[in-house]
Amino acid sequence: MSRSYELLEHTADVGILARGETCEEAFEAAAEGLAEILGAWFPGEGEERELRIEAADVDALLAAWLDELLYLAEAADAVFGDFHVDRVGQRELSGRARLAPRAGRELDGQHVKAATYHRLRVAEGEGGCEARVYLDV
Amino acid sequence: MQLEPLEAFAWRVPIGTVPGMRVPGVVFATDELARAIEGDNAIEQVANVATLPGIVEASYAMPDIHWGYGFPIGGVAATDPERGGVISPGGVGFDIACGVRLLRSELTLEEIDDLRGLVATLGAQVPRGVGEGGRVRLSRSETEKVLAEGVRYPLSQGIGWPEDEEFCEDFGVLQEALPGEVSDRAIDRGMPQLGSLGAGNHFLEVQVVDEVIDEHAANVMGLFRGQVCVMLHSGSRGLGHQVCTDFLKLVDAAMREEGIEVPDRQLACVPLGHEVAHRYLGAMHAAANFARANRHVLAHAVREAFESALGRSAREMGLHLVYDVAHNLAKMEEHEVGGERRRLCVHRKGATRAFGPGSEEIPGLYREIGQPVIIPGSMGTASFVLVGTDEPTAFASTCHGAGRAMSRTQAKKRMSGSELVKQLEGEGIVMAASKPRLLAEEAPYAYKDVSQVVDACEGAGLSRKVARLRPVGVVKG
Repeated sequence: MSRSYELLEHTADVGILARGETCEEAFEAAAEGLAEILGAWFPGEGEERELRIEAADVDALLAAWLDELLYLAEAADAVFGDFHVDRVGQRELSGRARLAPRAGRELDGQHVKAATYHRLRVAEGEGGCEARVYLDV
Repeated sequence: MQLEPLEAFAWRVPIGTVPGMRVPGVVFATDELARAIEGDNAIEQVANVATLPGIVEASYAMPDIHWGYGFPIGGVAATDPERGGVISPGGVGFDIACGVRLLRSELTLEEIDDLRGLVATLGAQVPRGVGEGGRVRLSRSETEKVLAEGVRYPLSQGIGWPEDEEFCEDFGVLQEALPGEVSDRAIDRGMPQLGSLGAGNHFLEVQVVDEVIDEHAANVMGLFRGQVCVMLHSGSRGLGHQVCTDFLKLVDAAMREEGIEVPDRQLACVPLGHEVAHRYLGAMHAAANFARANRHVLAHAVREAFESALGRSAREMGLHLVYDVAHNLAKMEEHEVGGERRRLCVHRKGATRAFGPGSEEIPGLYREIGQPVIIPGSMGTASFVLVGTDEPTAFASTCHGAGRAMSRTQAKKRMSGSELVKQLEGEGIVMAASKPRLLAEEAPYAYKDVSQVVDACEGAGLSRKVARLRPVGVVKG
């Protein structure tokens, strides 16, 4: 799998720089980065849920995708087992997230309030796709 | 980027630092703080805020300023609706009306036989940490009542003391709230969370008044040297975060339609006359009511914990509310600008309102001294109680805390959480932290020196010191 992410330094918060051969892969990597930050990454666990996101443009789609995952984690008190993004369009995204009940597990991660629009960027080029987002923790 | 000296404790970020600045930036700081600020991206953010349409006077920054997202943390900006002024959800932040509440008592530390037991009881009674529900589980309609009525709703259910309403900023409720503008998703998140501390830099501390600097003001507030107090820092929880997320999207779209451009998308804004601005203001105020009610319910938990641990009634122990302030909020306020009274939208993002003596917006008891301002230091270091002055500098605003000085990653490299617990316990502070591993992110060395921050605020005429408090017990999520 060619998707990857790194965490970016920030005085108070944390950023994710995700990469992939395609934007779909970069968005998957960003989600994995979020799940790791939350301490909610349990690969292979859970059941798939289909997701459809709409936003003003592809940058806002990245923030909206992560915000949707944050909402699901909190509302369902869940952890994540996998992410698959079928399509990143200009204003809409379709994909799936695998969610499992947290079941009282103590998550060894941080509380993330939301994805911000600060330095939000999805850039596609010859080398693949890069997706950058800062999270309010 | 460099700061230019302006006057004592004030530095200018000149127009032209970034393209499109309509006013200069003004940063309040000591010389030492100013040098540190120059090494952070925060100055660029001060300059970016100065590009907002309708901004008045200056883009202000408090001495605890640091790099945020859009607005710097410690940023204050007022816009004039009569001059195309905008409202920006980023100027409030995701944790709408995050703030601090201070309870005093008639107790001295010597009267508490088992401090560790008291802190443990507080830790058990106060829900904290990620995924923890609050003391009160609300139905949808009850949540809507909290959004409309703020602290009045839990009071109506027998939670808290009647006088708590008066000693809360905005008297416990913002009347302009529009609960109908809070999304179902935000309400879903808020329903199980009322009366929960949260995580990150939220905390509850048992503190002792270490030093009284202004005897008269301290007397009026009921503070005395050696007194046990409790300070708690929390906000609007997932409900507030969702309101900001929802409206950032709407404001971003409306901004494009209005043809407004901003240097940082997190500064997304819309003119105050726009329908989306009206809806955001109403939703944000509703979320602020939730935050006030949250701290109100947490304070009730504190009183019950003291009763349980010490075997006396909270009334007998004098656990009264000194004040409750928000440090992430935007409000319509009247201020004098160029000799004229104007109604402005004042954004305070990591900054606290500090009205001076005589203001009718503060409890009658405090009108002779000015509005109390509660300033939490970093974990394990001093906190301060200040009062607003009669100088309305920066639209009567002051700092909110110590302000971060390094990233979380850097902070964790210096020391482990367990080493930090050991260090703080060694200093006589009883620690109850759910996640010791993450504690180092909130270590005192990760923050600026709060004493310098409040000194700079006093030097700049923003607020005056009343008392210093030191922690003896820390409860964290």
